[in-house]
Amino acid sequence: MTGPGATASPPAAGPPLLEARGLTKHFPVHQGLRSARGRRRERGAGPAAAGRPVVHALEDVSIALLPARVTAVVGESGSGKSTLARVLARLLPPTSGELLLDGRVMPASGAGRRRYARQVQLVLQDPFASLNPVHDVRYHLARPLRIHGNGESAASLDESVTSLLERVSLTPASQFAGKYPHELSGGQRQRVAVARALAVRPRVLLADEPVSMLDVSIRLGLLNLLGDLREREGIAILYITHDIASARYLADTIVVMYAGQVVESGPAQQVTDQPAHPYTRLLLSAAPDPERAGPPALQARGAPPSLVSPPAGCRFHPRCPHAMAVCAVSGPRAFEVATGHASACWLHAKDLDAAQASPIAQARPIARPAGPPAGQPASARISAPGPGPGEETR
Amino acid sequence: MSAGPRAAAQSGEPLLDVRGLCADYGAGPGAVHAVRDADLTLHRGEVLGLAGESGSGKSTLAYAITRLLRAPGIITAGSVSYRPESGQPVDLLAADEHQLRALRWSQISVVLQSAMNALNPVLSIGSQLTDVLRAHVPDMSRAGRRARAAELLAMVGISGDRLASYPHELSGGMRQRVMIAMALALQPEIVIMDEPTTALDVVTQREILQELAELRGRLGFAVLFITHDLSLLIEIADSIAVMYAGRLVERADAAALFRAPRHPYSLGLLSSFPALHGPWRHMTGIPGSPPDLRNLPAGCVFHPRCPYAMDRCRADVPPFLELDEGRGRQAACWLQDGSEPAPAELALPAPPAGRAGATGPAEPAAAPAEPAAGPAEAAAGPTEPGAAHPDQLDLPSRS
Repeated sequence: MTGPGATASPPAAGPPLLEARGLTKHFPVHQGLRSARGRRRERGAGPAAAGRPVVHALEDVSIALLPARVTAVVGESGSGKSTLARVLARLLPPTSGELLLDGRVMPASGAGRRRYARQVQLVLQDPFASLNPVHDVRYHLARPLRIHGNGESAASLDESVTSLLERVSLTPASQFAGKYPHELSGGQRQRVAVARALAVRPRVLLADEPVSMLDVSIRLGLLNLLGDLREREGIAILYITHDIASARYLADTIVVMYAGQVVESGPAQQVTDQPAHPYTRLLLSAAPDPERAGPPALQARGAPPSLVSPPAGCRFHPRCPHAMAVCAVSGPRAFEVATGHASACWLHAKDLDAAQASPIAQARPIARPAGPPAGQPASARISAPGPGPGEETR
Repeated sequence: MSAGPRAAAQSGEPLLDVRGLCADYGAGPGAVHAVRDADLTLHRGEVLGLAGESGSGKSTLAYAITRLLRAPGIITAGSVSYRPESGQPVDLLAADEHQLRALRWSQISVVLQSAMNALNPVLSIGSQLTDVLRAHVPDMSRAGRRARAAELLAMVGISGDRLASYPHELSGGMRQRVMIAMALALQPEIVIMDEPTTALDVVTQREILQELAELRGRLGFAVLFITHDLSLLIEIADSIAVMYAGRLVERADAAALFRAPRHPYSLGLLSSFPALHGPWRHMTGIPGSPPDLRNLPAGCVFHPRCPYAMDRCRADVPPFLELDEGRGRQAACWLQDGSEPAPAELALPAPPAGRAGATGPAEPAAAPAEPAAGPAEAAAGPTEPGAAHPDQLDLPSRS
């Protein structure tokens, strides 16, 4: 068993530029004095209780970013998608696992980090916070060139700034270079943030929710810009989002994360049209869809688990309408359901015995008017798991 | 939200009538006109969606209607008449503090976007819920108030023992549920919801919307639902009004707006939401960005971004025209004034009254050429469901 990480391997467009293998990131939980004393007492009780509690933000995540491909990471808040971006950008050191750039591990030295940053750049969610209000656009774009460049002259810096602004369609460039962030609209600011990331000619762009703060009517403009960068310049892009429809639009590959783990990955259209993991189906059943005929049938209920003490086995099993005995005991490995399409779910296993496959009753997280799935016996739910997302569109 | 109230909404009498409402921030020549000449009618039992981008004035409009607009916001013109089931219509803009106090919450309540900010962090949920009852139902006993508060929580799916919890002890979704429970405490006729689910995850959002639909079916209140997410609104609203830069630009049934928009801005908004199904299409959104309200363009506020802009659009503000197809369809666009035929993508046949998705895709023949991607969305329609979405995939049966 290789663990839950489901590596996406679409028809190759060359070897991966940036590859993460078995990334795990734990954050220690800071506690008050009282619980610290309690912990000391526990520590005396036995070695099992000795560990300091941690948030399991990322657990054995493997992901490969290919040149000229957009990989979307989709999940709810708290699924670990932003942590993944920060670990990939080396803003956070992983607890374990390795990061390979061009198949090589970059040294952790200052020079190594700088070489890494020249190849891998991060665009953050909120352009109102990620740009410095006291500096103009020219400063923001020239600064990475000063840091990473080869001591260019002022004239060539200006030239670079102009070409950067043109690359992100902020024209006329001369007019934008002298502006301050407060003089720009949200969409223009985010374009400046993208231009700043492009300044060092990176080969990998990590975009953490780049459009979620933008107005609806200008989101597509930025998504199309990212799409152009992929096609024109062959940049490998990681697109992090909670909006699965926009991931379907922009990405070649979709990676679905839940509670710090990759649960499904595959070609974008295939993941959205034929979701294999129950969590992906839940996301799709909840997403706004004007084409949907009736009220949507949610595929599960409840909220993501605490990452301090995540559920044993599959982390989705407390919410999963198809949960079986085995799901509560051991985490599923990634099963390949189609070429390049992997899903970490025991439902795909062919070799479970009857005891392992016996359904387990669902604990409803909150008291609420019983929805139709709750009323059915668990066994009926497994054999007839209700309509897939496709059914609802009729 | 559900079929019953929807059918009633078509025939329901007006409950709230907004006419020519204008609201500014500041006074004098530097005033920002946040809402201009808004005409809106909310019918009994209806879900009226108000869609618009940030800064379009949709929240200001909601605050103006409820007289909650705070300085420097001022209402400069218009009327808002509330017609309760029994008794005389009340002009909310002319009502005094005493009348407003009697109406607010018992007849018209509000659910705000950020429950974390709307709930008091140092008071328990229970005391905030009973506060409403104490103010409006003075003869209710202390025990009665507690019981009613527990009942309200149960109504939104939170167990009654949470009454002693403080807001920080609840998840975002639970806090928003508490806000909804509080809004329904006195069984109002109108609930105004300002981006009630925007800060929530998509699954939680859907759960709350389903609960809301169920409650509405049971209690029969009307909802003014404000959001920037038009794709969500088309699913849950009976009719939709679209706002842009302080002006209402279109009003239609949800299905009609989705299948046959009449204003170029609505069309552009519809083509800004990538579809969950169907073949991949390049989409363009709307070029440019929303205008600065301090410095609005002359004529139609949308003309600098409009692919169909004519000379007239740059000079004259289009009135909110009543379109002759009936059903309360209105659009503020010179293309629809009847002087010449509108472009094909803005003149698609409206579907018969009913749910947006149930009407089926528009005729593929009506698919317009680029750049109008909007109706193409309608024209492309859902893909053959059997082919694209096998319901159970290849999961083995395990019974």
